Amino acid sequence: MTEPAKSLSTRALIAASLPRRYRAEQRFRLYGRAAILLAISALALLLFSVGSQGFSTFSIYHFNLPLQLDARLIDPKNTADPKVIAKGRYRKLIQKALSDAFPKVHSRSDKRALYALSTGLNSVSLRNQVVNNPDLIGSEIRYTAPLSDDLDLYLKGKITPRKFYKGTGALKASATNKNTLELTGKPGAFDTLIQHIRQKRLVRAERLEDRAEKLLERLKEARKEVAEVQQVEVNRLKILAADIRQKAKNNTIHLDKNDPSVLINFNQGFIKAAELSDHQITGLALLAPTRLEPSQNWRSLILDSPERARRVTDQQAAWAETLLARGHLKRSFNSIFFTHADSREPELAGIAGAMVGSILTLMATMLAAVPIGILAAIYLEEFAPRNRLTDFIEVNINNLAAVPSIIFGLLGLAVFLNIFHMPRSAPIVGGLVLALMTLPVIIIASRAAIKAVPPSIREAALGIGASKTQTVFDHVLPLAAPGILTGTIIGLARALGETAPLLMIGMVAFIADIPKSLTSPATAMPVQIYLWASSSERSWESRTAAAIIILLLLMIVLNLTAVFLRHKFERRW
Amino acid sequence: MDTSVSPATQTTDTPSAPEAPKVRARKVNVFYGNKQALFDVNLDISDRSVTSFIGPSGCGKSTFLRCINRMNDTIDICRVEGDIHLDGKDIYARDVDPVILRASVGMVFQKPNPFPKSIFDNVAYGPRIHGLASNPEELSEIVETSLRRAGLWTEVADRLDEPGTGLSGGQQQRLVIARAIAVRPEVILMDEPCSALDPIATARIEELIDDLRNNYCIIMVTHSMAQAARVSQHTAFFHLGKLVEAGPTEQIFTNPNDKRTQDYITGRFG
Amino acid sequence: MQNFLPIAMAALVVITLLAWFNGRTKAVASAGVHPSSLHSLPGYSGTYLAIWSVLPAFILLALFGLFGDLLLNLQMRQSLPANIRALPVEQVELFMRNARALAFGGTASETSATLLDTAKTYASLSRTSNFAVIGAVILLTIGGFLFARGRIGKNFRARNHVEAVIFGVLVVCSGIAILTTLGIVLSLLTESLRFFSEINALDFLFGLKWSPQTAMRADQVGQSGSFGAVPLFAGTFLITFIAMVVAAPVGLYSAIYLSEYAKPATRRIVKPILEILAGVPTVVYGFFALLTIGPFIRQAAEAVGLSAQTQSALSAGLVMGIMIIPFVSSLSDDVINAVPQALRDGSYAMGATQAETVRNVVFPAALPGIMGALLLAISRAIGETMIVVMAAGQSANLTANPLEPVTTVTVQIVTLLTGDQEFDSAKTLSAFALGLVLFIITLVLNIISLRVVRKYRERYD
Repeated sequence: MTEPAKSLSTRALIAASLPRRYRAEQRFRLYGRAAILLAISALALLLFSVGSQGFSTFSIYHFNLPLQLDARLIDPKNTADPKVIAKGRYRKLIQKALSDAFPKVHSRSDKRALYALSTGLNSVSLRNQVVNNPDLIGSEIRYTAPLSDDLDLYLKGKITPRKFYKGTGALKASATNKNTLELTGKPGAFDTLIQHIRQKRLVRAERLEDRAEKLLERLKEARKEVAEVQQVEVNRLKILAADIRQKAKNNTIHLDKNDPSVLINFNQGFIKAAELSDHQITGLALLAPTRLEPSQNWRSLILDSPERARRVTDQQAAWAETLLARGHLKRSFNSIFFTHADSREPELAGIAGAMVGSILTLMATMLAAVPIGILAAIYLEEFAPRNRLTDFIEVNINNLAAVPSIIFGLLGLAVFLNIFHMPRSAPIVGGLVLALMTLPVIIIASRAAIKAVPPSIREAALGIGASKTQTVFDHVLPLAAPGILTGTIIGLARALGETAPLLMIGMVAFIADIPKSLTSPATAMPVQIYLWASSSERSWESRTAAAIIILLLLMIVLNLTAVFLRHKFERRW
Repeated sequence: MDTSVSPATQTTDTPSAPEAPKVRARKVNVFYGNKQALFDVNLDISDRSVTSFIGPSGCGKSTFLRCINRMNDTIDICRVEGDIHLDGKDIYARDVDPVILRASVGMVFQKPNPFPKSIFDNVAYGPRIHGLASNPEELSEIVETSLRRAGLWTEVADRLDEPGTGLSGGQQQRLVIARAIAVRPEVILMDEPCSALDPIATARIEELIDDLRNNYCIIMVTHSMAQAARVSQHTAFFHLGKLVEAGPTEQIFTNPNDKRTQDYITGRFG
Repeated sequence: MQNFLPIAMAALVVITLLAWFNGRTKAVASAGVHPSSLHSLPGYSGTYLAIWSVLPAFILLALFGLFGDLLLNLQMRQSLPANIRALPVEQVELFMRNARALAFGGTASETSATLLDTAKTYASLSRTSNFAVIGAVILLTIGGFLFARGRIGKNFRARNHVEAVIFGVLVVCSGIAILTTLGIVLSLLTESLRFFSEINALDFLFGLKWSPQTAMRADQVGQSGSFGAVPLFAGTFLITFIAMVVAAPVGLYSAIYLSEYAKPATRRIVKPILEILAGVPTVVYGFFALLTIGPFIRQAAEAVGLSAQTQSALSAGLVMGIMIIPFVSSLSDDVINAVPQALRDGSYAMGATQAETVRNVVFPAALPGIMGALLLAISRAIGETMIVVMAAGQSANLTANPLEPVTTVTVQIVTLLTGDQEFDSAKTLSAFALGLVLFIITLVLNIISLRVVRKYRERYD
């Protein structure tokens, strides 16, 4: 018999192959883990990037400024007529309050920059406040409108890091001419500042050299004529970089337009450094110090991004810092975001309008899709004869569930708007379109729930003489209800997050009022997110993210409800 | 205790097992989670013969069978205690790789389970993953030999490319046996191999088993006592997770030692 | 019409309740001293009466609400002065719009004597039809009530009649799914046919240049508008391809790991996390692409010396891939779980390792189902709108370079239909033609994949 010997060699062969096979096994397992890790980290990255952007929007800087409700500007003839009061010059009042805070601002352009700290639209809320309470006229109130969005971003450190360095030793100031001050400290007082500037300059020089290097590399492959032109550019970059390196070494540094801004906060004034050595700074007084006597009480503020590259000037930064130091700016909960509709000004924009729009739309969806969906499911599962037509309906429903949502938008546009002349941008139309989209989901979920009810229940009911209809509505439906409810909620949650069909029926318009009925123009939360995400200003970005956080929270609540219902009422037959 | 019969001594006494047993189990206990499925099973199984496990459903005979090639490892909650030796070597020892073990202890299941591949690929599956053939000719040879041994060659020789799932139930089961033979095992476990087949197909499989007995140690779980009597040389009777009695088939069926065995084979329960 | 609706609703509720109680009372009275001698429970008689009182009137009202305006318009068009009717279609349309605005309050772009005249007829016609309908509704209500009330009695089979109505309602409800499909097909087809009557269908399907700006005035130069959709198809295909390159392997490997390797506890945690990924609204993915992935790709490309923009096919494709991962993984998970354990056991019993079993036995067995799942995922990717609108760009580039912005069918539908434009211009109609193409492609993919998945399920059930 040769079998055992053969068998032994088989074993040896298998044993020899084992290490390779186990390595393959490990690799395979690794791929699986990596795939899951990738998916989870994508989700984490998404949530993190939205969260880190969005949370800063939930609190913003508000003014806390005394404002004189001067009767001369509101109701000069003392008529007490609401119509007159409504026409008061409230914008002027706000501007006066700001001027009062910085009385030394005179030039027109400076004044315009100062008034930009509060958007002109704030006069509307001030007017409403006064119209509602005319007794206020003539008194001094607290002006609490939100700070302009750019300054808000600046104070939150989102435009450029706001780094304060505590000053060491006493500082002496002397005026060289009208607005220029010379600050002298003990030797080495400004070393940190100089180091910082030098380092930034070196980084800049390196970046230029890098670019030159890359150009040089590409130059080798370029045609001759092109190469010549590019060689000039390379040389220019190199000279520029060398110049920057050279200038970084100087003892006295003249700050140019590419350098960070250095502001010295001295005796409640702000001096913007133009020239800087280890113990002396000459610069423009953005805000004059209260006294020129030597003082220990100073600090420096470095704004890394150069002034020309940002939307907030050094002057505005100095004002904002001063208002903040005086307590005229406070960071607090952003209630505007939750109570206002959309606005052209980011600081006055809120999601309340979109939220109400979403709720109205979802209500219409629910009213249309839920009863129809459940009734259709009952028919198909309990009553429908098995024939071609039923099969066709079934295939139809499965296909509808996979039709792209934008197609439903086209249907809504062509049928509801153009044939039936329903109003554009109305929640009722949006709701109907989403209902058609959600219907297959609800039907499929309800059918599954009805199917899960065991036949014994039906037989028992029929057995005691109930009609088919009575059996279904009195016995089967209550038992299937939790499953139906769960499927319905999940379908509605999906409808809540849907955007594309709503764009088609015009719910994408700019709407500054909170919608009041199913037929008034409205927008919905996902559409609002889309609108804000397409705006270019920086402060919309964080508002978009904040709106997303709210939308996701709503969806999580809906889905958790579904999960809770499923767990609470789940029954295994 | 009624389990005082020592099956071990009984089997060694039988004349048909003069050499050392191929498989030797001592104090085997198996647990599914907290539930114990097997209690202190001691059994010797001899080479080149057919051993049948009989007993009512849920008595643990399949569980014990699956211990012999460590198929129970694939079930998370299953835990095996005790010793099972194959050729004197503990198969549950730490240095034993279930992959090698399963290559030498093949298994055939209740329902024929050909892979959704061609007939050729089904049989070639084992040799391929284990790297048993160094070139295509060798592989074809292994496939042909295995199919011949399983008595299927003449029926499928001209359609090796067709899917294995297209064969009849009996053919599928023989295909699965060929698939098991292809990796040259020493022991073949069969878990009710004929329960899903019609009588004619069953007869063919029984013939095949009788044939294979010359080269392999075959262990078979069966529901049919007639089948056990027809094809096996040794029979073990399991009841409620315990091995009640084991011995030569003739003796078990004509003159059992235990009352429960008697009751079972005479049809009092089961 | 504004405050008419709530009044009508209230009236409806009141009539329903009155009819129900009346019917019930009459049924009870007809039974005399033996309530059990009634054929049906008295409540059914009430419901029967309520249905007859309200339903016919309600159906009439609903039909009037839906088609009243339409009929009115048609009627008006017939009675327009001959010189107006002779005008081109757009001008007639404009005239009608102005007449409507004058008649029902609104801003008309012009006024003239004929216009005012038409508006007056319009308003009176509308008033007449409104009164006619209200009269008909009242008649129907009373008639229905009296008819049904006459039938209620001791031996009246109220339950059977009510159940027949319920049955009818059920049938109508399930018919809505068909109506929806019909609506989609008809609206896409009619608008597309109008488009193809202006633009050659072949030019549309095979043209290489897409610039849908049509001339507002005849003397404008270079604004002829060309509707070659190939760049859109190419862009759609490129993004779908990138998305599937991400989603197919990641989704499949996740599904395999979860169904074959992961411990139950891991499964319990990881599956809901993947489901969250599926529940995130697409507009959020779009924002994510715009805010995080796009800039990252641009910087990464610049670091290696390539030029890229924030909006690119790659960024849209990557993010769409992430969105589709859970779709692929949960569908494949179902399919893999449906592979019978016996096949796995067979492979393990041969001495195969787990990876060998998955790769050589489970995967081939699940392949048809997995193909179906992937086809569904592709159809999903093709029809996805918001991610591409936000992250892929609007420029119709015919390119295979994933770092360049491309545009897709869905993006163009959105761009063409948002904002103000004439409804009848070729530019607007082209959106419907694109929609038709999109619908056909996704429908074919869906039908194939649903059939494959269903066949597969049947094989192992």
